[in-house]
Order: sequence, then structure tokens, then C-alpha cells
Amino acid sequence: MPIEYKKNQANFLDVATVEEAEPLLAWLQEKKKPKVDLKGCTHIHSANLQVLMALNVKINTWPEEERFRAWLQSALSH
Amino acid sequence: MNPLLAQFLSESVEFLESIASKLMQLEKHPGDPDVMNELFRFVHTLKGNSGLFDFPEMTKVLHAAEDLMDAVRTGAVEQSEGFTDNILDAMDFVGGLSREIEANGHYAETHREEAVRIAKGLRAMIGTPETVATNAAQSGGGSSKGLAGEMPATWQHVPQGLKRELLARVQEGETCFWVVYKPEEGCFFQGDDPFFVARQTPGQVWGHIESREPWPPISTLDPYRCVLDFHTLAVSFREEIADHFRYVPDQVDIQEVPASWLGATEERSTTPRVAETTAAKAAAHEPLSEAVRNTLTQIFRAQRIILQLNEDTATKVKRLPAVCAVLLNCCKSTDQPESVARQILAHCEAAEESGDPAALLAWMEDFQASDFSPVQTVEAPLELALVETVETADVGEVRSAARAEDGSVISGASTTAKSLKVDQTKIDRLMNLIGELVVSKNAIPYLAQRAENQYAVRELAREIKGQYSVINRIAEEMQDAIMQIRMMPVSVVFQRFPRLVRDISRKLGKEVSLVLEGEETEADKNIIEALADPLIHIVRNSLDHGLETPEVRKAQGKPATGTLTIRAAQEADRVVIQITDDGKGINPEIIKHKAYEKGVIDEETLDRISDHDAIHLIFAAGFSTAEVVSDLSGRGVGMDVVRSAVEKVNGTIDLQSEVGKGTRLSISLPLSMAVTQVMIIESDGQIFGVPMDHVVETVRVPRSAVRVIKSAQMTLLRGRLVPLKTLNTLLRIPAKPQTSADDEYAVLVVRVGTDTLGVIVDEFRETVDVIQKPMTGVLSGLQAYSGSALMGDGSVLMVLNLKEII
Repeated sequence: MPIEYKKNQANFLDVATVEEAEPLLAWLQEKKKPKVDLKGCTHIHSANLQVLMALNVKINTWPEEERFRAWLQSALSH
Repeated sequence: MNPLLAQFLSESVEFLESIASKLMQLEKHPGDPDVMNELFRFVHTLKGNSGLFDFPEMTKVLHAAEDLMDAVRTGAVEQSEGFTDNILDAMDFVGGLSREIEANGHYAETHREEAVRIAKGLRAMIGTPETVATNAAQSGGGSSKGLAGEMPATWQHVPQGLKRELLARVQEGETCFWVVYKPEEGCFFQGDDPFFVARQTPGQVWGHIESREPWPPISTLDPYRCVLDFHTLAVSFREEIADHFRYVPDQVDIQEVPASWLGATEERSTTPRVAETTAAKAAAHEPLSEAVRNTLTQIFRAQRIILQLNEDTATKVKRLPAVCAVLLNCCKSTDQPESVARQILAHCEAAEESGDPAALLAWMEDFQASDFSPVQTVEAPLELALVETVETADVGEVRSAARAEDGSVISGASTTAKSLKVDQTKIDRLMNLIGELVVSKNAIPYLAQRAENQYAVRELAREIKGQYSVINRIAEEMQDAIMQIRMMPVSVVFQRFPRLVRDISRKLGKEVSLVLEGEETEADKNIIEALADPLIHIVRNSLDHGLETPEVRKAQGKPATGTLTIRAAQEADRVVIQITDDGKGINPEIIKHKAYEKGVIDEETLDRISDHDAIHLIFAAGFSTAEVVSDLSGRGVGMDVVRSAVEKVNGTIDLQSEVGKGTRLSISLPLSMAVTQVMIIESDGQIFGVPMDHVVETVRVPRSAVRVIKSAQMTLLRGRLVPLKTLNTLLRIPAKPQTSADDEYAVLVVRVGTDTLGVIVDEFRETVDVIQKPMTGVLSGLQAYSGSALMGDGSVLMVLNLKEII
């Protein structure tokens, strides 16, 4: 399971594939203050990225890999 | 050839055929959403599959076709005849490429331009001639040369430190590119992940993601419509970047970043590059110019930083050869005496052995201090930036490799195969084995008989018989199962007709509507395949000779559009295919005279021949009605080839025609030809097999009922005169036919072609299923037999070829 849904936090692990986008969107819509942990994530499909961007989700932890982190921060940190 | 590619090629043939047939359907029912969707899906899948291999030209054309179809599907572009033509052309091109790949493993480079032309043609129909795409295809990747000097808005996000670092690299002769990738909205549905592609940009040092449009309210957000733009800075070569984006050249813009963007002043940006300086510096011991010294200092600094990196010894040792090479190259470019190079080598070797580059570092410092006059110190941030790059370089490589693996996982989403693709030879082998089983199981009843008669153990005989019936049932089911596997619907052959009819009728200026019926009728693969060529020939003939031009038709009070019907149906254990046209029909008079002229029939036959027999003369060898040999049919190898092809698979052909009304041609074929049912007959103490296809009935005719007219024997059977022939005579066996105790002849009534006649034999036996083996070697010259078969008791049964002996 590439995305682990906890109470108010979604933990991204390894690679989040295109199939995750819809459940992710549904989950984010449900939660009042959703948080996202990208620590263990090595790649997320563009569709997931769009969802995170569109909902302006708070990222709790960024990925470890530097360039990947830079990419994501360019899109997600405001 | 790798198995994946082989599979792709075999599938692509199927896809192209399906695409062609769907296009024909679509032309008949314009705008049918189901057909359109299916068509789109075929092209889409084919494109996706082609993307697995490195055939960008093929993918490009398919992509353009897909886009055009999508535009037509959504109603953005109207479906016109040109649409069908263009797509057909594109598919022909793709088919040509696949054939070339199949033959040579790749296709010629020369197809590139054609691919561009076709893709351009398709895109032009959408109405958005994408200049970028064509431009890109010619230069091998999306790019626009010569920057207007305008900084993109996103440029402000590039960190200062990075700019400085890049400036240094640019001044050292590297090239930096600004890559803007705007993936199309539907790209997710094609299995693309643009973010992944952007991250993999070769030499990527910085990236930025933006949304093209403001985000809609959450409730209307479509996560599968890509609205992201990717901006990337990459230090690489233009060709390399263009190659990376070669599947989406129209969605990428690659610009070289000018030094001015990186904050270089005019003076700085003109700093000569090392290589140029070297070229200019031919004289040996000229003092180094300040620019060269500056550059050299920078290089030395970088190398020292590399050597001083806080790493384990093993990694350090691995870095040494690289550092050594850089230093040696510097020496060479600045014409240093050879002693310097020797020193470098010595120090490097020592450092490699000890794992400690201290001595080398010391030498470098000395060398620099002695030969290069001190220059202004390079700013600290640059140093830091360099450290950072060096540190991440290796790690980055490893990670990107790992990512590539992840990528393949994403795209290769597992699907459970519902059908198997099996090589036909494997099926054939299985079928042969089952055939053997069927025959060898026939030996068991003989065994039971022997147990009873020879050894007088009735119990055992009964048990053997019981076991036999079980094996028999299983064997029959197996045989049935393997037949099912080999069964193919006739649509496999039929689906190429719509295209054929369309092309030919256009060429001839005729209007033809093609009706296909019973496409789901199934028959053995061999039969279906044997059917393909004769059918094409028949259809061509109908179009060329049968159907008239619209003017002629109207003049005769017929609808302008002619109808060609191809109907398949199963009748008992045979498949019957009828090709009917409502054309001008075949005039027996013309055929008769033509046949006479060509020497196919003699004068006597000319007078006597019935109309029905006359039109069948078109199947005679050397008969061709076409006055002028046309491109389409009438190449002189006409209908006799059709007939022999049909007869080869034990089929029969029949022709009915009415002048002015039309022609109907029926082909009757066996469902399968693996197992032949034969009737065993006895004559002069020998047994022979007669294929059941020929057997009409078996009758006992009293000797008194046989009449002799002239020298021929005849008998009256239910009011019909049936000519009689003795098998012994036909086979030149010098024995008289035997009659039964009631003085009756055993007469096997057979049908050969359209004739019915009786063959007098000694006795009838049972009918059996046999696997007929063709006569090979010296036996192949024996025309009287069509083959031989092994019986259950081990004896050989010769199967008669009635057509030849009668």
C-alpha cells in the first residue's frame, strides 16, 4: 500500500501510483485538517501531486532525497 | 528477435486489421460512438504498445492518429472521407514499418521524413498545425534556437547560489538548458507520468512545478486531467534532452540558457574557454594569459575540494583516477613540460596505494603557487555550491537508477491474461498426438476380441471393452476440445473485405454496398486460412466483372448501388460460404464460345453443354474472360486457381447465375480436416477407404436390375438413372465383382463434383475416423489414393481418391 491513511495523516511510501489519486482526493475531502507525510516517498505520480497542490495540503515531512524534495517544495510549499 | 517484440509485431497485424475494419464500419455508420470508441481503443493500445520499443516514428504517427480520432470522437473535428483516407494511410505506413522490423529487426532511417509528413497531415486535420512538433521532428527534438533574451517568469524561482554555480559551469564550456514541459491534458490515460519524465531529464539540476490554471473548487477537481507544467534546468546536451522527450516533442520547449540570465556581466561571459585558449596557444612556453590562469585555478580548486571531501577511503581512491585525468588534461592543454605530468602520475599512484591524497594535495598547492600568480580568490558560495554538486552527483545517479526501476513498476501494471497466445506448432503437435491416441485406442477392441477368441477369457474381454468405452469417451472429448481450440471465426477473413471492396470499387468507379453475414461461423484454422485467397479473388471478380457501373445499372432499372453479399453459415459438418452479387450475371453463351475459342471444349461439347455446366467452365484451367488483363482480376490465373485451392481442403464450389440478375457462388468446406471419416469397403479381398464426404448412400442392387447401355452399366434408382462402375475395373484388379447370397451387387453411391454414380464393390464395412496421412516419397505418384491411414489393428488402409479414378 503506497499510501497509508492514518487518522488525520496520510503517509506516502515508496511510489504513489496513478491509481492512488482518486482515493487520495476522497480522503482529503473527508478530513478537516489533513496532513501528509512524504518522508518514505520516492516518487508520486503527477495526478497525486495535482491533488495535493489543488487542496493546498499541509506537508508534515518532506522526502529525504534532496532533488525530489526541491521539486515538491516548488509546487507545494506556500 | 526478442519474444516481446515478436508478440508486438504479431499483435500489430491484428490491430491494424481491426482498425481497418472498424474504419469501414464507421464510414457506414458515421458518428457511431461504439465503433468510434473501439477504434480509438485499438489505435490507443497499438500506440501504447509501440512505445515499449524504440520506434519513435511509429509511435509518432500512431499518436497523431490517436489525437485525430479523439478530436473526431469528441466532435471537435468532423468525420469526413479524408479522415478515413488519412487514417488508413497512416495505418498502412505503420504496417509497412512493422513488416520491415519483422524482416530486419528495425526500419530504415528514411522513414523519418514520411512519418513527419503523415503525422503533420493528421494533425492538420485537427486544425492545430503544431509547428513545434514538426520543427522538433526535423531537428530531433523539441527545441527553439536562439533565445529572445526574455527571461521566463519562473526564472525568479531559481536560487542565486545555483545560478552562480551554473555560470561557472557554463564558463567552463558546459551548456545549460531551460526545459519547459507542458504535458497534454489526457496524458495520464496514455500511461504517462510527466512528473517522472521531468525528474528524469538528463543533467537536471533544478525543477519547478506549476499549475496552468487556477485550481477549481474541490468538488469539480478532476485528478486525471493534467494541468501541470514542468520547468527544468538541466546541464546537458540539447540532443540528449531532446532524445529524452522524443515521444512528446510537441509538448516540450528546450532553450539554451544565456550567461546573462545567470548573472554574468559582458566581460565575464566572454571569458575564453580552456579549449579555445589551447587552440590559440600554439607556442610552447608562452606565459599563460590571465584568463587561462583563472580557469586553471578554478579547476585546481575543484579538484582539491573533491579530494578533501569527507568520505571513506574506498570512495576517495575511486575518485583519484578522475582527478588525475583532469590534472593531466590541464597540463596537456597548457603545454606543461612532461616532468609535470610524470609528477602528477607519481603522486596519484602513491595516493591510490596509501588511500591518502595528502601528498597530491600538497603538490597541487605548490604547483599552483609557483606557476600561477595568485588570482582573486573565488567567492566562498561558489566553493560551497561545488561541494554540494559533487556530493550529490553520485548519489543522484544511484537514485535516478532506482527511480527508473520504480517507473517500470508503475507503467507495467499487472493485468491477468484471459487468453493465451500459443504457437500454432504446439497446437498441431497436440492435435497429432490426440490423433494418434484416437487411432491407437481403436486397437483395444481387437485386443478384447483376441482375449475372447484366442484365450477364451470372456470376463477379461468384457472388462477391456468397459475400459475401452471410458478411454473412447475421453479421447473423443479431447479431440473435440482441440478442435475447438483450432476453430476460428470466418470474420478473420471477412474483416479485410470492407477495405478491399472500398478500394476496388473506388478504383473502378462503381458503387458497391457490402453485406457480411454469419461472420461468427467457425471453422478450422487451416480451412479459414485456405479460404482467404480464393475469397479475395472471387470478390475481385465480382466487383470487376459482375457489378456494373452506376450508369449502366440505372439504365437497367436497378439501384445505382450494387450489393455484394458474403454469407457464411454452418450446414451439418460443413461451412458454406456464398458470395452473391446483383450484377450482370454470367452469360453462358459467351462463356461457351470463349471456351471453344480457347480450346477448353470441343465443338461437340459446345453444342451439347447445358447452361449450368457452361458457366462452370470459368473454373477450367486456362480460362479467363477478361478482354484486357486488368490490375484487379483477370490475370489469367483466374477461377481455376480458386477451384483448386478450395478442392485442396476437400471443399466444393458451385456457381449459379442469371443474366441481368446476378451471380451466386457457393463454397462448401469441411469444418475440420484433421480427422477424416471414411467408409471401409472390400473388393477382391482387400479393404479400401472412401471419404464419407463422397458417400451418398449404400444400396444393394439385384443383378437383374443392372442394365447395359452401349458399353456402360446403369441402374435405375428411385427413378433416376445412375451409371455404375466396378471398383475392380477402376483399379485394374483382374477379378469379377462378387454378389451376395441373394445375387445382389453392393453399390456405393457416391458424388464426385456434381456427378452421382454407383461404384460396385464386394462388401461394405464399418465407417471409422482416421487420420489421413498424405502419400509421400515414391508413393506420391499414385494418383488413385489420396492417402493412407493406420487402423486400430495395425493394418494400413488406403483411402481412395475417387475424383482421380472415376
